[in-house]
Amino acid sequence: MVAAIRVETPARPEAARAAGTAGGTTPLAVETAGLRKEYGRKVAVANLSLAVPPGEVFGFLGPNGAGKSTTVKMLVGLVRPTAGTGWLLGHPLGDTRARRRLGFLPELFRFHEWQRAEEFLDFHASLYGVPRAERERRIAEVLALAGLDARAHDVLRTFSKGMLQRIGIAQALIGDPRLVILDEPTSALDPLGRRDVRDVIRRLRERGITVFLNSHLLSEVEMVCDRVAIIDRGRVVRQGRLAELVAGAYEAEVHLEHPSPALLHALETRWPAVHRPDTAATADTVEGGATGDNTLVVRLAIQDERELPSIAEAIVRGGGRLRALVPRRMSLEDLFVQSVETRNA
Amino acid sequence: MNTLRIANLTFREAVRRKALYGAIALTLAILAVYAWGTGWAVNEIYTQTPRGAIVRLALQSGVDVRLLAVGELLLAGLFAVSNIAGLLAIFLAAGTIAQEIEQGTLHSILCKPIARWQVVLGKWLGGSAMLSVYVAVTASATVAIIYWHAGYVPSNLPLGIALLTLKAMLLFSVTMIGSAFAPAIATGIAMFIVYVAANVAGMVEQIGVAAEIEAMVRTGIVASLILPSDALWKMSASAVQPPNPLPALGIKLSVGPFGVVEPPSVWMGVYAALYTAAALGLTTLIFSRRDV
Repeated sequence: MVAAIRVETPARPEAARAAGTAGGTTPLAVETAGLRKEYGRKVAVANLSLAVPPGEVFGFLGPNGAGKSTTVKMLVGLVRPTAGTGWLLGHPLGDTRARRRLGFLPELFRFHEWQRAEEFLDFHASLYGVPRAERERRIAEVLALAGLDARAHDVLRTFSKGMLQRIGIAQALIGDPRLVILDEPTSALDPLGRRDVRDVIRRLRERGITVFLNSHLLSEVEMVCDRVAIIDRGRVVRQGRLAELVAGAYEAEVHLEHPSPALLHALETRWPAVHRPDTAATADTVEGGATGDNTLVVRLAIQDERELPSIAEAIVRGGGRLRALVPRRMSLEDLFVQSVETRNA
Repeated sequence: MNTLRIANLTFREAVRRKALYGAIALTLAILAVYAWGTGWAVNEIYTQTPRGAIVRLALQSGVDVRLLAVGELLLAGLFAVSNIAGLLAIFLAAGTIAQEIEQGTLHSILCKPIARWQVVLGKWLGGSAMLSVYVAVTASATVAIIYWHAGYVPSNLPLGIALLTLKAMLLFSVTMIGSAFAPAIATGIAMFIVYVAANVAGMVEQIGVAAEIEAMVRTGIVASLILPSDALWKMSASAVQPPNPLPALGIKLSVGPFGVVEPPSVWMGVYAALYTAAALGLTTLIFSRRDV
């Protein structure tokens, strides 16, 4: 309970960590304060503050070039922040104590391909300091988890891209981590492989392991994540529990036949448009906006379904011809597009 | 422990990726030619009447010119070993960090509880182990070939081999500095140029000693301080060459192009060892600040 309150009000990180050590509660799995990275004059990450509670699956989202991979690299100690600080499992970034309990699958999963699968895992287990006696059991365990038990004796050079990504996940789990950071873990996998990875992530959560998932596959994130942060241009634009972020956000999808600009204007003054095609180009060219038969689709933000009759009424009064009026809950994709577009507008 | 794990990985990688098989095959071919050529030469040295006027003169004054000729053959072989090992060191080290960063193979290693200095030291140890094996085997083979043909045993063979090994380790560590921040090819080319320049400066010093031109000697010494690779070769050569009778006659000349008149002092060896350690320190410093 204490942990929950602490997490919901991400107060000062100092306070949170103090509570973590003194109170006996687990510290946040990942925490950053004003993390910044510049490459020359280019700012990759501007001012990033994250809080990832332990035991959850955390989705880290953002458009290409938003700074996701740079952030992840700063977390695992591959890249030095220009400014700001962060903590993994209560230890400052780069501290070997945190890295002892950290599993990481890099976006670029390239390994020493002359090694045999078991040899590769044995080497990485040894870096974690896993005792020799225990390694064999661990290797068998993670190979099974990655679905590669049959390939233990094969040289990595003979692996397909998907298999390399799987052995990369196995490598991330070999040290019995408390925190697993996966950077685009399914980029090389087919749909079945993706489902396997989702299952692995769920099993990790069942064991109380925090998973930090960097992905641009929104459907995937929606299926497994408890909490998400959306970043754009190196800043967090949304952060919170997935259920809360998309809850309460309703929208009405309105299909109108040849609407007049006046009617559209009237509607949008009462209900802000979540998404509307450019009216100048209304005709039938705008993708997703106009359908082939000159019907315009507008999505309006509403509080709840009780507003639907008022919308219908306003349309009829404005002389519009209503084809369809569909209430929709916001999906993660909508939230994502909205968050990123708002900033870019 | 982590350092040794990386060293082991580096060594095994070289063996398993068969990267050095070509170099080993070529070395064996060169040794075969060397064995055949020296056999021929030694045969002529010992069975035929010397034709050269200088040689006859030397024989009359009681100098064993035959031994000196054999010594020069040995130095020629070791000169090749020294330079091939030096270039191997440069080209192996040029890629050791740079290529792993480019390929991304370091990503899954550096995120684990391992310090950057352990990676640097481990790679250097692995590389040094490889080069030590290479130098020990090829230098011993060279010495064995000469012994087999002429029965000559160098006065201080272990020291000679140790100094050649140190030279390869020195070049490996200096090249690693470049590998920590620059692309492999750029580092390799730059180090190759520096290495050749250091060798030339070493020759200039030799000529300066012979002609007693102080400025040329000083040039060579300064070059040795910038990169003591040639100084280590000279110390090694002086440990294995037969005693040079010329300085006693007031001539500061080496017996042949590969011999040495005035070897650097033992302090140059100490300097080279400290230099190697400093290069590793600098590599660690640069690599620790490097974004991967």
